Amino acid sequence: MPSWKLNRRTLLRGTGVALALPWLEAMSHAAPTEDRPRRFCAFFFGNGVSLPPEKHAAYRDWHWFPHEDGADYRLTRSLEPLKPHRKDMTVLGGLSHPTSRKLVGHNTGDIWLSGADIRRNLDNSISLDQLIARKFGLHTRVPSLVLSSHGGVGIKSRTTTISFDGQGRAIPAESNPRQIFERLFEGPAEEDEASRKKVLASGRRRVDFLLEDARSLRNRLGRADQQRLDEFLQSLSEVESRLVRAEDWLGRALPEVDRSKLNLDVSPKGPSDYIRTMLDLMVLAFETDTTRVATYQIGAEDGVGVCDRFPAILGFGKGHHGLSHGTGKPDGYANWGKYDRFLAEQFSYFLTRLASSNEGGHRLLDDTVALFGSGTSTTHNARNYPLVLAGGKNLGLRHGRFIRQPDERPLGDLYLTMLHQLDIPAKAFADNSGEFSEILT
Amino acid sequence: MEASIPFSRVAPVFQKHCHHCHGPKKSKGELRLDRLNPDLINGKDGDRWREVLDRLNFGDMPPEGEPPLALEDRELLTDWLVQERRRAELAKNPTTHFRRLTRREYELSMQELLGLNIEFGSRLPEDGRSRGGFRNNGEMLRMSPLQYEMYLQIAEEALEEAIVIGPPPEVHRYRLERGDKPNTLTTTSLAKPENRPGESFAYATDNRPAFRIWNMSGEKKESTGELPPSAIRRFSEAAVKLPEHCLAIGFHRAFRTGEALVRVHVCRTGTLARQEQDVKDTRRAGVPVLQSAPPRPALLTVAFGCTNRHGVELTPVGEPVVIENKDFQTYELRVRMESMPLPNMSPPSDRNAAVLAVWNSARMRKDDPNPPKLKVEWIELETPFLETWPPASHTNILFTNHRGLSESDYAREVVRRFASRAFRRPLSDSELDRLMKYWREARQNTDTLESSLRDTLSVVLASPQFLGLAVARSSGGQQRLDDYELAARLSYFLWSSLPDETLLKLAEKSQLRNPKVLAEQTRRMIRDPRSWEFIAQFAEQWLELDRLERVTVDQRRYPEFDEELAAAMRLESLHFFGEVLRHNESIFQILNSKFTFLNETLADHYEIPDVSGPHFRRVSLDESHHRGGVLTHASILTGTSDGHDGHPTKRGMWLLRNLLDDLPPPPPPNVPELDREDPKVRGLSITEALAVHRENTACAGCHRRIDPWGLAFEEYDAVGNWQRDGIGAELRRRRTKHPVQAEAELPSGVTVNGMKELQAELLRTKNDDFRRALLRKVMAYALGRSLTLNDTEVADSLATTLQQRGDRMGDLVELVVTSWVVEITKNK
Repeated sequence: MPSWKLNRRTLLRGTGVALALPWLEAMSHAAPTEDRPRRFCAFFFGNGVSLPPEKHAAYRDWHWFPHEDGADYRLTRSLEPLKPHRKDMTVLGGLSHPTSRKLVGHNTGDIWLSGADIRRNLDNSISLDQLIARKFGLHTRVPSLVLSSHGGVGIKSRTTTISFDGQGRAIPAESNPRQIFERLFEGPAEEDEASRKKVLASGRRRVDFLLEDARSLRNRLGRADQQRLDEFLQSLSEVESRLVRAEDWLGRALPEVDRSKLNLDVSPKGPSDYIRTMLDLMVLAFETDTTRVATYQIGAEDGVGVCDRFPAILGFGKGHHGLSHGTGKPDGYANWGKYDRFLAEQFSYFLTRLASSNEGGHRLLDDTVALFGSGTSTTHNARNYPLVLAGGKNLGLRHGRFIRQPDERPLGDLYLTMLHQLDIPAKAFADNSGEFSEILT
Repeated sequence: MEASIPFSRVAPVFQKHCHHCHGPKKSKGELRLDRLNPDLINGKDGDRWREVLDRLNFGDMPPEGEPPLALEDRELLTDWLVQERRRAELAKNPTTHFRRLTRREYELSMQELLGLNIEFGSRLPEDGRSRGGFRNNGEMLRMSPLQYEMYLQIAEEALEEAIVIGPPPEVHRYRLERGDKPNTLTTTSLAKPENRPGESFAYATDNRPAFRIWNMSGEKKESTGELPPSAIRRFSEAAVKLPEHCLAIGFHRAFRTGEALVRVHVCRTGTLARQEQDVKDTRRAGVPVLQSAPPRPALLTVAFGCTNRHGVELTPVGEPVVIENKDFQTYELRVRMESMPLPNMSPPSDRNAAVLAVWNSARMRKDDPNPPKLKVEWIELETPFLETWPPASHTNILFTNHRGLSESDYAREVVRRFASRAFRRPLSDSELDRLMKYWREARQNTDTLESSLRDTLSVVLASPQFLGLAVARSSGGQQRLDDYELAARLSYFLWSSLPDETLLKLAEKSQLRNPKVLAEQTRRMIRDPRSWEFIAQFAEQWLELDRLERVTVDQRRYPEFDEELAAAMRLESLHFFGEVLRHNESIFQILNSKFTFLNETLADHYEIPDVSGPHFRRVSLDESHHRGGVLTHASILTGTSDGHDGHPTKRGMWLLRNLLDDLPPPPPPNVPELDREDPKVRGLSITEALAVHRENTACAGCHRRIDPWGLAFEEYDAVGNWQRDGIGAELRRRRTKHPVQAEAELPSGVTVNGMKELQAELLRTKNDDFRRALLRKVMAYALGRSLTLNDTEVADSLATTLQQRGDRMGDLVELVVTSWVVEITKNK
């Protein structure tokens, strides 16, 4: 297993004092007074999971959801690879975004993380990761990492990204490991950096002017009005501090990582290696505190993209969408379940990496909230999303159970609670109806 | 609200029933009512009084075993508490002047300043509603870093659109014609008109076009190319399918910004000779009505959009065009591409392409043997559409430098003109100096004057002085209106936008403060089409028309209810209010009127014949229609239903809160709503159901004052059908055996049966309350804040004059505006 050593020399040349500190804290780009960083990541795959009916021969082994809920649940073969992480994860059933329940589930890649109401048209809204990145992104050089196996944004209703910005616009996902590595750890070209600098500087100038403008207006107002204007001032100050931080990163040294430990010669034609490298990049980005927020769409919905071919390449017979429609065939459920198992293996690998990564005596996993799942249970049924929530023990998450809902419940409940545990203030998320306190200690 | 109740009237009741346990001898629950300060405004016992009110409402005080409180006494106590709590609440409201522009106000101001018809506000989050129901209440108009970033970004992008640099872009111009056979399409390049800028984009070579254009219409084989009425088809899926009959084109290259011009050469086909034909209207049960059917026009709808995996997203361009002519004519439509749904930013494909669709959106009628048809000869598309280069938006800001000013003098003048319009007042020299300092730095960083001005003006558009409305302190330290602030308050009140030149001139000359001039301007502004903004915002928010969107109507019970009908319902109320305002009619028309506004869709719903076409027009009403006044508007009746049936409690609350400004106390916590589908009440009649609900929740006291009002609405069902006869009666028979019960004993003891009697009773006994309520509502909207005690008194004081002048709506607005005269600074 590769391990990522920061080049201490680079850093120590500059500071000369950091020797006594645990290694990652010293290397961290975070302000020293900050608590240990919290992190968030999400992994999505399309087309749902194999859920054979009770009488079916494959029911016992290849039913993604465990057959019993509570703490004594038994993982079926579909999720068996996650067994080592039982104490660090919760299997969740019966959650979905209410406004999409009646839509064909193939749309849910668009709204899995946003919960937007797309019944009328496909106007999306901010996704959970981007909401988190608005805050966490201030502390890192890269505000968030948006990855997918296919890359880009794809088409509306079948996006190949699961991240959406504040205006609901799809954020293009990166899919080329080499380019991702270069961007994260080898820095932008000089001219890119110069133009970025210029943009930030002009933003600063603008905001500085406006702050002065607001202050002079404030002097002319009555007291009650001043309080209202203070919200303008505070907002502007925060916008300014975001710009300042962004400028700060420009000049800083990049963490040095050992490229040879990473297999960058991969392509989606070899799914196992490719996905592992993508996961390695995420772990590396977390370890070096290059970013604290990441999403990865492992597979898109429907038959979209190169990722649909993954199960075929792996020898499970068909493309992913085809598998999801092939349950009438002999071994249909089993084949689909085998691919579910493959995906669970990948997630398990990621969790293992985070669990073995140590940050100042703490497992990285315990400060990281990781969500894994799909937006449909079976192919077209946008209810009862198959979900695994892992990590975040230090953030107050309690694990070790399969929590099934008696009635379908808004996924926004869980998202809101996740936001709160990540210390992001929010009153609501999408059409949540409350919070999800069962997941808390 | 009832006349005010003095403490001296309630004190003896408290003493008699409560002090025994909560007084000098005993203080159960550590509560001594005799010690509570009856002054809820200045005293500190507000919270304890609230507890007292809750106990009284719950009915658990006095407890069993103690002499019971007579109903009148209990109501006297709760009325007094409600009244004092309301006053205390008003007294808490601060007199604020500064508020952020609403999303709509921001959008209109930006459009006006830049001369660009772009939906600038669509990206901003929706503004919240105050407790009084208004979205322009400063308390709710918050600011956040995210929102500020959006203002900065929108300003930057808007100025890039308004101020251009360099030569005009290439223009796509082409004509699309239906081929001789169905599903064929010919595309012809169009040459650039002599008088227009921009090179034509050579999209087609001899062999093939530069990008793919294809026919998406999917015509049937036997199609003649005529388009019968058709509609966008929704299916249980995101987005929509194209109308069954349409002319639709998909294309792989489209501009995401800028204006596009669509020209359609079209005529109406199908025989027109239906006007003499008598049609027996069989829909009105038992009563044959002879009506002459007017010729139905075809409706040309043009829409832009994009494809996705399932179908399309489409947004129609403006309102449908009425096509009556049998000869071909050319119609031009302009559209801002920014407002249209566009494909994702990824490589074009047939499922990620732009769409242009044209169809006939005349109402589809099952019983129409000869529907109006539309024949489209060709469609031309020009994008971007450039009338001049640079465009008017550019030259409006960067005026022609006739005087040969030096670059910095010119820039100073550009910035001065722009900023003083944006800030709605002249700039001081020092303000302008600061902006020019900013400009000089910007100029050093860029190659062109234009981009330095873009940069500088973007600061103006993100300034709190543009984004917010303020009243500055005068030298004496008091916040009083100066002439410009008065002009701005007036224009945002009636137009939701910047003051126009006339207002600014009057402000400059310090004439607007003259009450006569102010009144005259108010009347002018109401006459101006821009007052639609006041009509739409105020009436929508006051009457809570957005409830329509929140009700989930039972489609099985009311299959005719759809989005189109809901939209028509809303517009009836807006047009109706607009008419009362603009024609300066009596405010009591709102409670009952002999006219309303209908289009074909809504008239069908109301079973009123002879209304055809999509536009709204004034229609006279008589007794047989059972309509008149907002209480009978389907918008209100639907919004106050639960989607299955009318809901007396919701309807009663709506009436009290909005029309009478009477706020019954909120229900005690955890009380379920009356659910007519609840098995417990399902088989019961509405009066029985209400009785059960009251009994269950021990809230008889309040409900006795709410429910009867709503019960009188029972003649109308969940979508506003009259259910004593006609379609409504038929629908009712299908779901219940109970006859309509609309008889109610109002809190005053008077019994009314049905809407007509309710309206009469309101006009007879509640006219003062209604007048006062409306004055307060308009005042709150006009000031953009929760009314203070003083504001409330000012609004109330206008009632007498209003009454003397005949209670007219236009006068009411005028009185509200002229009441501000006392707030104006003495010295200019």
